[in-house]
Amino acid sequence: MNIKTLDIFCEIIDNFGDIGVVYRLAKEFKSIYKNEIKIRVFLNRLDEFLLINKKAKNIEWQEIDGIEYLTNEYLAKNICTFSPANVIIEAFGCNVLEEYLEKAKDESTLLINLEYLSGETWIEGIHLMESPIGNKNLKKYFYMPGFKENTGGVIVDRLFLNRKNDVSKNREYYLEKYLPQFRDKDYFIGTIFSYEKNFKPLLNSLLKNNKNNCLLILGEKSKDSVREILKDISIEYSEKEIVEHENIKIKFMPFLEQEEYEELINLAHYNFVRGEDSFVRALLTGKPFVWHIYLQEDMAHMDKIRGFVERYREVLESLNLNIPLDIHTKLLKEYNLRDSNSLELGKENFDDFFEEFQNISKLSKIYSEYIELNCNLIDKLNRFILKY
Amino acid sequence: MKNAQELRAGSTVRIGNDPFVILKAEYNKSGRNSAMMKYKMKNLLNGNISDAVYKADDKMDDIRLDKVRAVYSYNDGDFYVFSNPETWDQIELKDEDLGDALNYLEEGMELEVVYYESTPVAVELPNFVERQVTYTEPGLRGDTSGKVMKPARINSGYEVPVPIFVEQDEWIKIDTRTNEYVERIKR
Repeated sequence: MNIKTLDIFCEIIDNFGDIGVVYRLAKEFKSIYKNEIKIRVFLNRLDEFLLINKKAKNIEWQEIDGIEYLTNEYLAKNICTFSPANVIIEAFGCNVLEEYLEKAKDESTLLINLEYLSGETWIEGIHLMESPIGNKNLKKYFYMPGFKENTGGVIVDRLFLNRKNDVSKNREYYLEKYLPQFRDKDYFIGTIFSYEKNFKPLLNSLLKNNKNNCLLILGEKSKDSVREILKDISIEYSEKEIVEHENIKIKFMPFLEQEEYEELINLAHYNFVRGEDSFVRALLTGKPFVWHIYLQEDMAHMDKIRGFVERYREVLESLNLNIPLDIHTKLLKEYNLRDSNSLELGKENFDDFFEEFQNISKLSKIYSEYIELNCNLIDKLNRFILKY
Repeated sequence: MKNAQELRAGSTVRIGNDPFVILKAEYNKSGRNSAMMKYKMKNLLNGNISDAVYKADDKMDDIRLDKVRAVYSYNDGDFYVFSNPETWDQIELKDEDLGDALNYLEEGMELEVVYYESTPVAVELPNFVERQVTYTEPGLRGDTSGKVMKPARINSGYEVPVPIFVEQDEWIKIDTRTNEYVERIKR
């Protein structure tokens, strides 16, 4: 079937992950179909969207770059005049207005429940399985993003890949754009966008690496974490200026739009990322990464970490690269082995990560190529809809 | 209406205009993903068996079909034979009708046989059963957190994840709706 109109629903719970994925999804479908289809994104609130997209306004209905963004309240108030799209995506099992769904049963064809990303194997048995709703017109399917060919993949958007390519070709330009103070020397650049974490072990490792280190701190939770360390080691500083600690220069970054963040992580040599969306972007840079996963009750987040590590291992081990994987995978597990986000010291040690940095860079590059080639969510989702 | 999570093998629901019986129910949950129920279910009008997935909190239109109390007697090779303890009528069901119930079926077990238009179509288990562990790896006595799990086999050959402190030959209580260990019991 052809997409004529596409409605995407997103319920933002906290942070920027959910809206990040949905915004990216909408932009990518727009870039594929241009003006051939109408795309609407329905949001339960706008706060996070206003931050990741500077063109967005705090209004109930708006059109930005050819995509309509509406609040659920606006939909509820105007439901009698709304026609549901022929393809509907409910992101992350969010709740869609009942009256809208009733109309969709008569007017729509395909309802896709797009779930969160997971490396666990059980998702393979559910991906693209029907969730019968007993309606002749409208059929509902579960779409499970993952890291294997037989799952839904991850969002490998052309816009990101273009940006990655552009940063690689015009490194000087982007250094000038984001880090003019760091152009004079060959800096070893890392970004940190994380939940609360004690980064003292990271700083200790960087102090020993005989490099000029540049650490870019993004997001309030990362900034609070770094502020605590600086207080602890009695460094006086102003966040408007670059903080110096021996061979480490720390820069507190302003809030960046999604596109700017993508340029920055492609400029960096390694990235600390959190949640789902920035994790996938870090994977796609092909550079070493440390993933701070969203914390879950009963340590359920560790199942996801183990799932990803197993999939990562499967791919890289099958290539017989003769490069040890354990240092990176051990760090990913230890970094996330916690039942609360806090500044308590964890088990993680970054000395090995930086000693093996060249090897981990090779692994990260190869894995990003595998993901790009085999796990492109947009292509897979688009093909599923077209074949339906 | 019931939440999808409350349905188990033997439950009957109406989807659109068609009645279905759930043959197998599997609960999946991890991380931020919605908890999900994966079913194998049979359309009672045309006999087709299909797989389906629902969010655990999806509302399902459960329907009440006639149910008769029965006791499992034996398997004659083709059919599982049950008897009605009041009338002593024999009731025959195929293994495909039993689904997940096969995991816990044992001679003398009481359950309910579900009828659709005078035909037996499924069985519904009690919510909890007590079974002896016939095999499990030796446990660690020190760990009583119940968070670290290992597989434990019961007499049907079915394996249930149990806390690591559970020992072979011990009796355990199992929730048949979720196939989850509940507690150790003394016999």
